Amino acid sequence: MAHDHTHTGNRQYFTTWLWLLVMTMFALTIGYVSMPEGIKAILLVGTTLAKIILIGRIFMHLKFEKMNLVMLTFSPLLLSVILYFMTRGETRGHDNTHIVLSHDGEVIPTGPEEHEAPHGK
Amino acid sequence: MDASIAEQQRILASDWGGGKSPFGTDWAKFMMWIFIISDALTFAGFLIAYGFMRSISPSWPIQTHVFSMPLITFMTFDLISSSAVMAMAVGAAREGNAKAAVKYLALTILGGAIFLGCQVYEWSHFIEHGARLNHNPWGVPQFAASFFVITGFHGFHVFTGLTILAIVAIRAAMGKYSATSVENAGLYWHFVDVVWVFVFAFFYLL
Repeated sequence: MAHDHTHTGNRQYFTTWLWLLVMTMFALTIGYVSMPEGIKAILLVGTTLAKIILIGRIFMHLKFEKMNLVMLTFSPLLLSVILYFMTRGETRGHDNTHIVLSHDGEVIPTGPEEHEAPHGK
Repeated sequence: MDASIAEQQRILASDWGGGKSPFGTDWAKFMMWIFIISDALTFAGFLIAYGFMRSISPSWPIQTHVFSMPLITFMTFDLISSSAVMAMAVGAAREGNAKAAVKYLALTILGGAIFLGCQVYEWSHFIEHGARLNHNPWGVPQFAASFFVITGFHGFHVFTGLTILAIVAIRAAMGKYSATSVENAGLYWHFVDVVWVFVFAFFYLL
């Protein structure tokens, strides 16, 4: 096995845990701060990728594994990117001809604005 | 003759020669990785479908106004903590310290159980507010449907993980365990954590 002679101590797990908490709080702040959706998405994707790389490298010991296994584990991310770009052309922001009809057949405005919930928890 | 044997040994010793695992892992661990990758593809499908549904929808509720974010943050904190403790359990198992491994496994199970309890609480409140699979008070049917499917599927994974961890912990307490079995259970548990990191960012915050 690739990691037979390797060991990650509890101290490093604790440091990783702290970093994960910091990044979670950062992501939470991004979620609450008002900013353009594009920037928010980039920041959240970046933070999420940083978190999964930390979990994968330290907690799942991928840093001790062979590179071909590491690349294999990231293949779902590649598929996600392909799926995203496959469906992107049909989305609201990229298809101006996209029309949404109500049950009565009326055209529903498809502006970028979001509505508030009628009531929260 | 000697040359051909030497050549055969050289081929077997190479990464893809058939004499050893090209991925440098034992069979059980490699199969766990294959399972995790296939499961990740399922969640990727769910999250991309969610993103697409949301993108073609004329409007979408603001999640931070609908969900109790302190609760979701606590759930995230809880799952990350249990993942860290699970990593410690794997370290203890590798060192042959069964007592410490069982202790850390028990703490991981506790963290997972708390997470599941919070999810039950969240679901019950969401349903109390009128959310159903095909309709909800927020006007976008896909909103509740995607919530139930994505968090439900993840919750089922947490429950499965707890079952696996309980079996491994009981076996470890009885002295019938191997470091590999603890490590494989740990890989699954960390994967559950990874999925939640995505759900937290893309479903609750974006």
